[in-house]
Amino acid sequence: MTERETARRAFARELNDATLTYGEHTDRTPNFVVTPTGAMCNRIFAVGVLTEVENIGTGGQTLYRARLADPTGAFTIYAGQYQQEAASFLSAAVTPIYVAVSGKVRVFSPEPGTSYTSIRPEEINVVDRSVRDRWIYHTAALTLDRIKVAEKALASGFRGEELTWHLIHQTDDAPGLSRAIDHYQLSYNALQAYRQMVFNALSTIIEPVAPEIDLNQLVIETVDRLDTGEGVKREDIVAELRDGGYDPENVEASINQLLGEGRCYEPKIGFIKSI
Amino acid sequence: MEDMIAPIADELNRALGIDRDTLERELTLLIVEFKVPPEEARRSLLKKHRQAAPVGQAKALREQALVRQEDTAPIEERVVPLKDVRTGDAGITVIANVIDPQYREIVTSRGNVAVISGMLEDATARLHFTAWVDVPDIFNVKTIVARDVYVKSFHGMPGININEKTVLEEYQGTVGAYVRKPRTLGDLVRTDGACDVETEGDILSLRPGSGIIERCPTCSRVMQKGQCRAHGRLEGVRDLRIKAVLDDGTGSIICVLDRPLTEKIVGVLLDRLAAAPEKAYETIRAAIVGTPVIVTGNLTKGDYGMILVAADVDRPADNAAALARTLLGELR
Repeated sequence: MTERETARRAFARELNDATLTYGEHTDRTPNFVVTPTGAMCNRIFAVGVLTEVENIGTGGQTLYRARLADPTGAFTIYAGQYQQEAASFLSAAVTPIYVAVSGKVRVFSPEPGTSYTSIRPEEINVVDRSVRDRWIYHTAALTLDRIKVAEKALASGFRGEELTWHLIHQTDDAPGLSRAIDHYQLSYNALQAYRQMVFNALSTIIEPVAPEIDLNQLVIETVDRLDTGEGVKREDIVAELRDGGYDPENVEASINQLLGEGRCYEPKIGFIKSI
Repeated sequence: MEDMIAPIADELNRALGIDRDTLERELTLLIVEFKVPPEEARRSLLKKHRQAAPVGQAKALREQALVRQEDTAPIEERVVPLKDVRTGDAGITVIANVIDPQYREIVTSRGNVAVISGMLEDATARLHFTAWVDVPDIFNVKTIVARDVYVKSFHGMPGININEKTVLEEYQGTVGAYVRKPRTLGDLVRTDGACDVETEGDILSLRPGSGIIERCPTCSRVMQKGQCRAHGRLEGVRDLRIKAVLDDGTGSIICVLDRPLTEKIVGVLLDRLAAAPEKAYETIRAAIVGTPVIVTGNLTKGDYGMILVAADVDRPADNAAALARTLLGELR
C-alpha cells in the first residue's frame, strides 16, 4: 500500500516564501512544494486564527478564500466545489476564531516571478488557544531542526545530487533541501532570518510574568465591558485604565501583546476587539 | 572481487575451523561465478557450516552456561538492542530480561506443538519471544544471552524466536528494565512495530469505520448493514471506536481508540451519542480533529500500514508556553 504523506509543519511566512515545486508529474508519485529550509510539503497542517473569509465564486460556483493567521503571516486557503465540507465550514465560520486545517499545498504561478502558495483543505475544524500554542511550539521546533540541517548542508560544500547523497541519512528532505539551496540561493543570512522568525513566533506564546497577566486580563475585561459591537477605541481603553491607576505605556504594551498573541484583533484600524 | 575473498575466508576459518581452501573455493564460486554480494556469501557459508555443528544446544540451559565463552561466541556476534530488532533479522544476539515465560500449546501446520512464550525486555524495548525447543531453565534465570535467534513478525510486532540452533546462556550482569519514553512518529514509522510505546501527535482526520458501529455477538467482527461476514444477518452489539490519522510532522500512522478511550477523549458517553446517532460522527469529529493527543499502546505493522492500538489516550498538558521558553533558551 502507498504510505500516507506526512503533513508537514511550517510557519505561514516560510510557506508563502516557497516558489519551488518538485515531483514527477505522474500518477503515483506525490508532488511537493519545497520551502526555503527544504521542507518537502505535499500536505501541511496549520493552526491559526481565521481572520477573513470571502466568497469569490463566480457564476454560481462555490469558491471560498480564507486567511489563517499565525504569528509570522497568514496562510491562504481555497475551498471550492471539491472541498464541500471545508467550503460549508468556511461559509458559516464567524471570524476571528482558532482553526486547525490540514490539506494539500499548492503553488500558483500566474506569470514567471510571481507565485502564490495556498492550502486546499482536506480537514478543517474549530480549536482553542492551547491547540494553537502547541502548534506554534512544535512548528518552531521542527523549523529549527530544518534550519540546523540546512546550515550543515551549506557548510558541507557539496551541491546538487552530491549533496542529496550526503544528506540522505540526516533528513527525509534530502532531495528537497539540495534543490532548495540552489533554487533559493540559500545563504546563512537567510537561514538566520528564519531563525529570528521562529524566535519571534515562540516569544508570542510565552506567558508574561505575573503582574502582566493581571493587566492583560484586565485589558480584555475592559474591552469586553466597553465593546458595543464594533470594538473599542485604543485611546478609550488606555484612558479607562489610566483612571484606574495603570500606566498608559504598560497598557499599550499589553494591547500589543494581546494583538500579537491573537487574543485580541483590530476589526478596523485603532479599534480593539477580544476573541 | 578476488581480494575480498581472502579476508572473508580468514574470518570464517577462524570461526568455523573449516580449512581455508574449501572456504576459498566456495566463496569464489558464490562471489565470482554467481555474483552473489560478498556479505551474502559470507552469511550463507557461515550458516551452511555452522549447521554441521552439533545441534540441540539449547536443550539444556544449564549445560550451556558451562560452555566456555570462546567456544560459544560466534564471530558474527551482533548484540542488538531490542529497539533495533527488525522483522527478518537472523543470527543476531540479544541480551534481555525474561518476563513471564509460560508453556503453551499452539496449533501449527505440523500439528500441535508445545512452546515456551513470554516477553523479553531491555532498557530500550520489550518484545515477545517464542522458544520452539524445551529450555526449562529459562524459568529460573532473570537475564539471558541468546545467540543466533531469528525474528519474525508476531501480532504485527517483531517477535524473537529461539530454536535448536540458538545458544542460551545466563547473563551475569544486570540489564535495566524497559522504561517507556515518548518517541516521535518519524522514529516509530521506521520500526517494524513496537510494544508499549508512547507518542504525541495531532489527529488530522477520522478514517471510515469511526463512530458508532455494530459488532457480531459471536465473533466481535464489525458488521456492515446488519450483516456479519462470517455469521450472516443478526442483531449486532453496539460499540464505539475511533480510527484516527495521527501525525506529528515527522510521520503518520493510524491510531485506534476503543469505546472507553473514545468516550474519554470526546467527553461524551456512547449512550448519549447513540441517542442521536446521525450526529454522533460530527460530534466526535468536532471534538478531536485538529487537536493534539498523547497515546500509549502497541504499534503494529501489517497490511493496512502502521496501527497504534491505544492502551490509553490523554490531552497533553497546556504547557506550550513553558516548552517555548525552554526552546528559546536554547536559541539564545
